[in-house]
Amino acid sequence: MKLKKIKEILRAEVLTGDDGALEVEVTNACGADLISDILADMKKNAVLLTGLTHRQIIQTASMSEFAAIVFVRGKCPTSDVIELARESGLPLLRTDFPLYESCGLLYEAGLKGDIIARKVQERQNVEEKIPGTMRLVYEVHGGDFDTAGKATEQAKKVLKQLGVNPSVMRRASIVAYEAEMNIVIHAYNGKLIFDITPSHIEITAEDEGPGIEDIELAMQEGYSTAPERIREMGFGAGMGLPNMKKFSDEFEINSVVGKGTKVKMKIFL
Amino acid sequence: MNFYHSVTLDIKKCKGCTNCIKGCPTEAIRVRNGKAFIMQEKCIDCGECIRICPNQAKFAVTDDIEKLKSYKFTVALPAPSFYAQFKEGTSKEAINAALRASGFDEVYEVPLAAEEVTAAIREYIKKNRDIRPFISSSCPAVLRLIRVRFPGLIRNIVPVKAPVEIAAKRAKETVKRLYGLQEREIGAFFISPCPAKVTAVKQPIGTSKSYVDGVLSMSKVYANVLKNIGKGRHHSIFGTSGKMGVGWGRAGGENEALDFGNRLSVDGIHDCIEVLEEVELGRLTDIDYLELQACSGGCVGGVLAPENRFIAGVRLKKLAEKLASKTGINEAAVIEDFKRGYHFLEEEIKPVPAMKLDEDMAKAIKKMELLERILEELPGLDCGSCGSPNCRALAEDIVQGRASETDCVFKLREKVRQLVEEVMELSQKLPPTMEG
Repeated sequence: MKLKKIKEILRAEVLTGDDGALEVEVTNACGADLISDILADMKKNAVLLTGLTHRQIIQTASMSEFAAIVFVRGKCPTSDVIELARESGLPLLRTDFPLYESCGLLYEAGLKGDIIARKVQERQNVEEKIPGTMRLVYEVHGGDFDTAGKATEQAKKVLKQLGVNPSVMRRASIVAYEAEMNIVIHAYNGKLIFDITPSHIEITAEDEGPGIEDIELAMQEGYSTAPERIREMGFGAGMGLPNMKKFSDEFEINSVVGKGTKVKMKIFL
Repeated sequence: MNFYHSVTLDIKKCKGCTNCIKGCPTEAIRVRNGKAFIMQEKCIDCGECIRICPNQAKFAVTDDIEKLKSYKFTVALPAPSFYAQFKEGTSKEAINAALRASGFDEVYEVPLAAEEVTAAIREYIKKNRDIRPFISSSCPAVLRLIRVRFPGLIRNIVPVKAPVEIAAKRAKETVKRLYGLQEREIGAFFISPCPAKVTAVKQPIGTSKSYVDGVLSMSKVYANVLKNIGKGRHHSIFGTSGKMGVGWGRAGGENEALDFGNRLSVDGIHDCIEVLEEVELGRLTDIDYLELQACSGGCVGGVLAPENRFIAGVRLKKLAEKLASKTGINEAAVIEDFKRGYHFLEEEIKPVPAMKLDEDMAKAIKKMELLERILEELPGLDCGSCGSPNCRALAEDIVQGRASETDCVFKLREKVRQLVEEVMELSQKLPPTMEG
């Protein structure tokens, strides 16, 4: 509703504000005679209906971003107050209707503001809830065998609490663990990211590292570039990448020699 | 679903301390209103809380010996660990005789059934090569742990019944045949070292009904049997077990009996969890068989076993050494029975997703986000004063509406400080008429 329309409904007189100002679109209103109530009821694009006419009301209204003030019960502020409003660019109107009736008239004319706004907000909340996705990000440090496997361990706990079904759970654990260990064994630094939605889990392992020269070769079972000391620990059997591919529904690997490797694995629920 | 549990709280004895909530392997206990509270869907009856409680406020509900009177013929089923409860040199035959003198008509040595189960498991893991490692089904607390915390590993469990079930089944068959009795007239009573076995009989896993009719606490039967020791010897009509079966009563015994492939034996519930985490990550695939015992030391470490677990473990070893035969069963005949399905669990083991935040995954994700946000605000001391075992569990309880943020003493203190600040600020204010 335009401010012009409000002026008509309330048969109001304009104290300050030009024709342009009256074109402002108002969607909401607040009626109160207590500053604290006005402050508690902050609204956007709203008109303030009040019987208060002191300087503070102008400051409060501009602070609370009201679009305009309508003084009710025929009250009129002093000229210095009107001047203050003009300086702040806040239109002022004046009506003979009391507060209750002013509010009623505007409400009846369709200015229902908050009720609709609240409904819209509620609807948005509901809609937001439906897709529901979650991201878990873990830092993985190359060469750090003390914390190796911790990222997967923590993610596993989350997946269980989310109620991911047992077989997906098992596959996700295996691919995540292999990916995490690959970063620990081969790279300098990396991240293990889990994007979880009700339809799938996507696990991304991204590292800064030496990269893979021949991906095709690396994907072969039994091929490994892990150094001897790592093999002695029981890793580096050359099953990491093949297992990651085997247990995921979608598998994507990109590597730049001297820069790093990124593996994306998707498992559908 | 309703859950039966042997592990129970004596509300009068509970002082509301937080010892038990910290030790529980499935985070199934909370302290609310000054008393412990066991969450039915999460409890696995392992008995850790019975061990930990300084006030003996946790106990295991078992059957009463009076129940023997409801049957025409009763069979005692002593667990292998039972034979380790008496002083060194006490023979199985002497213990069997004392059991008869205590009111039972016959004794079926569960170790004998353990030998049969050993042969069945060996056959099963030889034939099934696609899954590794296989996990033993003998410890009921471990089975329940897997069902609740590791549902993805249910497929690794060997689907063979526990020895006590086979013992009850065989005993009843023989008694029916020899004495012409009806099955319902025969009562088979397990003499158990642990509460999880009570639950396994009242609410079995992988089968609809247990062959066992009652479970008696080892420590309750003990005094009576002890009194009757030395009054003769009794050779069970069902035959007697050898070295293999007796060993099942202690950690590692099952693996020794199995004597096939790569085996790993782990005891103590927290160590079991550690190794199951590894199995879940796809490790340990070079192990053929994993023997897991919830109690440290194995069944001799059960909360209902009266003798110290170290002493009992040594005794069991010595007892086995003295036995002349390796086994009391006819292995070829057992394998024949196994092939026609005699030993298999009849039903699939179903997961109990007690860890789930919500049935609907989208909602679970929302709850998880909220949980993580709440957790960030909590102090991370895992002190347990709120009645939840750690900060993460409290965050979960808040999300699930079981607790509130001010249950955290540190959060509460922060709130109080804020309130005080607000009160201070308000006290400085003057009414507008006095402002000057």
